[in-house]
Amino acid sequence: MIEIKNLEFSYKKTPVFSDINLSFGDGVGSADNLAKNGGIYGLLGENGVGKTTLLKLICGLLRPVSGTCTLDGQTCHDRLPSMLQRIVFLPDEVALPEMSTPQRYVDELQPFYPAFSQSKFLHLMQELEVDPARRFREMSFGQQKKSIIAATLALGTDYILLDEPTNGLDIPSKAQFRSILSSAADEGKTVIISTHQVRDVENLIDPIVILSHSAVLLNAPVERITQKLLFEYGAEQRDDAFYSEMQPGGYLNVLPNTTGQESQLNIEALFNAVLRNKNTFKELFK
Amino acid sequence: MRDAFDIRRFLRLVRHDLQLLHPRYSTQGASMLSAVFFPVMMVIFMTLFGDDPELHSSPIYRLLLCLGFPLFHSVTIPYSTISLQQEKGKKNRGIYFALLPASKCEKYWSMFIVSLVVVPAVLVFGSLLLDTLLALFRIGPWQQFAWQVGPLIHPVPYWMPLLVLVLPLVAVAFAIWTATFRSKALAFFGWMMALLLWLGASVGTMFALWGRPAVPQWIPPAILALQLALFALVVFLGRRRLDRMTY
Repeated sequence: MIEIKNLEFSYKKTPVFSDINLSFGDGVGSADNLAKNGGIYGLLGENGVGKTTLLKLICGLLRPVSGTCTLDGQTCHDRLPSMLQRIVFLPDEVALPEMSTPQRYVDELQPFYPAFSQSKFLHLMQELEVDPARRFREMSFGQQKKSIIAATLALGTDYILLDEPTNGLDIPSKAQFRSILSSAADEGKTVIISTHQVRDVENLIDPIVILSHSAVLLNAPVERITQKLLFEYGAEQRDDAFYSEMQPGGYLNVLPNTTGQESQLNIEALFNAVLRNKNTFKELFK
Repeated sequence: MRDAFDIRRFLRLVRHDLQLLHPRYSTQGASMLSAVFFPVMMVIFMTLFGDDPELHSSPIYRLLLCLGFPLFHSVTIPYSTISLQQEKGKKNRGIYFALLPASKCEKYWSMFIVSLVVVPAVLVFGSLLLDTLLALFRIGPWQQFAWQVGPLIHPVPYWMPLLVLVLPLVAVAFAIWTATFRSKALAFFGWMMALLLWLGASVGTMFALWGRPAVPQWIPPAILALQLALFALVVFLGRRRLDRMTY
């Protein structure tokens, strides 16, 4: 489990987090995730709130000013080998060795990851339709991204951190990405995705974490969100809505769910509703 | 498996760091081969067109080239080992290195050994081997082995070229290597060390040319002591800096 307690972080004089408390992989997801202790966490937030910074703190690339960030009890910024074997971070932009190939890339990594699976790597490469023997420099950005996603998932780590993983992927690849990531979650892995492209990961992420400057505005599984909120498509804009959005044919209203009615979660609408009613949502999901 | 240091993991890491060079050098092998072949080409050129063929085919001259050029290559060529190691300190490429499951201690010493010991040693060995093969068959200017330095043609001690060129090059390589750690203080001490070696080389030259009275007796040991102290300091600071590096 990843546990963040009273975390404070700043870049020189620019504060990013103050007193953040958060945990991942503790079974707060849906019923399925509770059983498997994994889940695909969606880390959402406006530009500059520190989503990437949080991922870097979790994998130990950054050191908190105060507070703690631990992975199964080990302090993340110590970057001990036993911890690093269990976590992988895929940044938004990866500086790949251009002359190398995906196969050579994983060959270099695999001695350090006991759970690495070559067959899984080849299967994922095949599924994503990328040749593992082709040089990175001969690939498009999207193909490079797919190769690196396959390599990341084949390492077999328990925790997978992905920063904007769908950037550069074409439409069919996004669907393939969702499919392979679902498989990873089924294996009990804890995946944390930081993204702006919420539609790419809609119906995939659960639980949802929304960050703002210096606070966690929401950290809840989808089931709980839809218990508390109603996403209603209607002809009129409702006055009691947390958020309303004009759509073709009417309005999408995010309302308090007072009747226990079921509805389909709309992440974009949820995100906007949370940002406009920060304190209300904090209380609602306490 | 121990978290602080594990010999099997360390050896895997050294192998991994050496493998990192492979994709570059497989296509730019000319860069590495040039370091090995340059001394031979230089001897041929200088014996044909130089004003003192006897000097330029002498063992000491060839030994100097075989030691100096591969080291010079390590320092100056853009795709040299050191520049590859420096990528580990960069915020983007460095993430891969920082998250590789090995301890910081293992990463530091692997980096040190690969960039400052293994690759330069392989290049020096390659150029000496080539020179030795040519000397074995007594081809052209290669009538003696490069390591048969005496008797000398010119009244210069055989260690002089080593002191004047090779050791300062090693120090410059070391100073450039310190840039990996993104620390101004560390780079400053690294370059101080290189500067002191040049100073030591100058004192050595003065000593060789004009004898002991030209140089106050306390200067050489003082320079040597300072160099050793700086070397230890840079190694220590580099190790500590790597522990605290963020990306």
